[in-house]
Amino acid sequence: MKKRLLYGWIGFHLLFILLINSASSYTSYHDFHHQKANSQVVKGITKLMGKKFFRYYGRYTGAETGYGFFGINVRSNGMLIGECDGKELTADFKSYETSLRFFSMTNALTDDFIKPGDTSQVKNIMSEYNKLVFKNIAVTMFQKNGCQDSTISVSYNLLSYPSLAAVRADTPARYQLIKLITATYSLR
Amino acid sequence: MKTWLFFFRINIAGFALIHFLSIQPDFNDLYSYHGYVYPDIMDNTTDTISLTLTGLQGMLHKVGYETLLWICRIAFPISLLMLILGLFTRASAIVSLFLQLLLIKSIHLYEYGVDGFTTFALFYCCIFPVGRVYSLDNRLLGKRDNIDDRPYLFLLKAHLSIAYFFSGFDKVIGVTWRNGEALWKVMHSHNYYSIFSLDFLAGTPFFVISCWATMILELAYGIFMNISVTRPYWLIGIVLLHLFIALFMGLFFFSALLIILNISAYYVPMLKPVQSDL
Repeated sequence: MKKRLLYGWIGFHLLFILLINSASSYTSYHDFHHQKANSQVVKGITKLMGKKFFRYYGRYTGAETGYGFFGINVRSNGMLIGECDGKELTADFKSYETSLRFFSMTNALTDDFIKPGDTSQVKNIMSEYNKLVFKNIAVTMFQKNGCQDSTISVSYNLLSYPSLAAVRADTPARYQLIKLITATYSLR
Repeated sequence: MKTWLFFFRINIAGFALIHFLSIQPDFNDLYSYHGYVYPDIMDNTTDTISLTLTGLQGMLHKVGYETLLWICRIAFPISLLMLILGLFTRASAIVSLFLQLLLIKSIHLYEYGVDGFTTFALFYCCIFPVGRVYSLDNRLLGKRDNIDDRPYLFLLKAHLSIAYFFSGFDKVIGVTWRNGEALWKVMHSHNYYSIFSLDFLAGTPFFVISCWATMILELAYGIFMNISVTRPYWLIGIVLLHLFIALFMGLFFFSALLIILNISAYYVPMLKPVQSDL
C-alpha cells in the first residue's frame, strides 16, 4: 500500500513537471514569434497550475522550475551605468556569484526597455515597478560612492557584439554599448 | 547500491552551503536596506505562495528585520551542516528547504537557474531516505532496516531526463541554436567569465557543432542515459558540457550542481556496494 502511494505520487510529480514545462515551452515559443498562444490545452494547463494548491506544491517541491535555459533565443543583455559628478559608477561586488546575480537581475529588469510594445495593464504596472527598482539602484550607487553631486544619472546600456555571421563577413569583433534609457534623479 | 543516497545528501547540502557562503561578502548588498534593491521594494512583486523575510517579519512583529536576517543567516548553514552529518536528517532537510526558499524568494529579482535546481534537490533530501546511509541518525538510533531506494532513484533519473529534454527542446525550436549564433551570443555576454576567448574559432564550424552537440545531448538524455551501454559515454558528454559552461560562461555553481545530480543518479548507483556498520 505504502509503495503504491509512493509510486502514485511519483507519477503525479513527474506529470506536474512535464505539464509545467510543456506549457512554458509553448508560451515562450509563441511569445518569441509574437504569435497568439491560443491552444485550449495549454490554457487549461495554465489555469490548472494557477490554482493555489498547485502553486504551493510547485513552489515547495521545486517542481515549478522551468528548464528552458538559454532556450529559443539567448536574450540580449547590458549594463547599468551610473554617472555622478562626471564620474562613471557601476555596481561592484566582492564576490563573482553576487555580480552574476546582479547581472541576471538587470537583464530581467530591463527586458521591457528592450521589448516595448506590450501595453497591457499588468505590463504597465511592472514597468512602473521596474522604474522604482531602477531608482533604488541609482540611490544606492550614489550613497556607496560618496557622490557629492545633487543628481545622479543611471543608464541602461545594451551590450552589442557582432553576430557570428557578421564576424565571418569581416565585421570587426568589438563590443559596443548602446544607451537605451537614461534616468536622472535629484537626491537632495 | 544505496551509497548514492549518502553521496546525494552530503553533496547537495555541501553545495548549498558553499553556494550560500559565496555570497557572504556581499550579503548586505543583497538583503539589507543598504543594498541595491531595498527588501520592501523587492517584496512588492513577490507572490504570497512562499514567505519572504519581510513577510515573516510582518508576522513576527516584535523581531526586527536585521535580527531576523541574522537568525536566518546563521540557521541556514547550521541546518545544512546537520544535513551533511545526517543528524535529525529529515527535520534538517525540511528546515534547509524552508530557509533556502525564504532566502531566495526574499531576493527574487536576483534569482537564476541554479536556485530552482537547489530547491528541488533539497526537497528530494526531505523525501528520499538520505538519512539511512552513513548518518549520525543511524549511529544514534541504531536503525538497520533495509530500504528500497529504487523508487527514489527512478524519480531522480526521470526528473533529470525531463529537465534535459525541455532544455534541449527549447533550444532546438530556436533558429539561433541551430546556426550556432546562440552559443556565440552567450559567450559574448557581459559579465560571463571565460578562461580564454574562443573567437579564433569563429571561422570554423565549432559553434554550430557545439550547439547541435548540446541539443542532441540534452534531447536524447532520457534515452541514452538509461541504456547501460551508452550511459558512460553520455554521462561523460554531459559532464563535459557542464565543465564547458563553467569554464567558458562562468556559471560555476550551476555546473557543479548539475554534475552532482548526474553523478548521483547515473554514476554512484552503478558502483559496487560497500559494507558498513555505520
